[in-house]
Amino acid sequence: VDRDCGENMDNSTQKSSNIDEARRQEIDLLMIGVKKGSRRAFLNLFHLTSSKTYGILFGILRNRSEADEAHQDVYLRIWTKSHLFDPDRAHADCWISHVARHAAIDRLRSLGRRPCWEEYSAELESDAPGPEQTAILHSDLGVMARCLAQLDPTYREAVTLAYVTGASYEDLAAKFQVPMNTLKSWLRRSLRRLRVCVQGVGEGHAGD
Amino acid sequence: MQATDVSTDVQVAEYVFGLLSPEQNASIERRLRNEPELREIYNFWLGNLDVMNAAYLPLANSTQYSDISRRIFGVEARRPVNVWLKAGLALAVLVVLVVKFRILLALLG
Repeated sequence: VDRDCGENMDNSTQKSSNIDEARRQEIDLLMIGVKKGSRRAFLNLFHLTSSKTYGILFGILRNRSEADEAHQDVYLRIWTKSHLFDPDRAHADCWISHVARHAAIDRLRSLGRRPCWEEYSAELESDAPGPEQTAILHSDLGVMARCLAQLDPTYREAVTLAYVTGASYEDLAAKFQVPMNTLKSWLRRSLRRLRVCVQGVGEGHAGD
Repeated sequence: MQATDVSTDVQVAEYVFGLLSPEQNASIERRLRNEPELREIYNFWLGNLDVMNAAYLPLANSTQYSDISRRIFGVEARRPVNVWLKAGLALAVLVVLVVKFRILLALLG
């Protein structure tokens, strides 16, 4: 299992990445404290991760007041679900981002709202990656970015939109104007390709 | 990877993406507690998909830790301490005032 989602950086990003790595390790240690029930660790974890988790909530909900309400839920979940975090196999900030995404997605669905596609419509109308995809594809955060880049553009967009906007299969099928089973087939095929590609360390197994 | 492993792998990836129903999410989370192999798959996707979080920018916010703390831990454990502390301080101030008033009366008398 690749615990490191921060390797494979070039020299130009080394300095900032060192800072990021120090911060990441601090979050790891604090999360271990939270797992043991330390309220002080929880307080410090909140201060260190609050802006990131809020950014994720806003990125999906696109509404300040809804993000405000969901923000407390994120930390409630971090406290109550800390047993699901495995410090030997995952970085805490990856897990915390996952918790924040799920809190946002749950709220989006409980409100019966569809994702805000406007931010991403330019990407859908073009084969060229948009800002969000560019941020992901040009990232030095591991082989996944390279494997994503090897997917068919339509599949890549579907995968990226599913993750970044928190869209459901139903939302995506409506957006791409295909039957839901077709959309499921696209995504599941893409996920299988990504798994093979990442395990092959980006040796070109993702493309057809 | 066996066929069943592939479907499990995809389902865990769907869980990480947030594509499953609340019931399916709860089922996966229950299994994660007891199945090390499933945790392995989960952590594979968790770590590798983290690159996608680069799409979200950190944002300043007005969330107060005290609100979260109150919601999780409650205030019952702290409130009696605060109440007694405040009551004690008020009593101490009252005693000082009474003593000063008596000294003043004695000086005037």
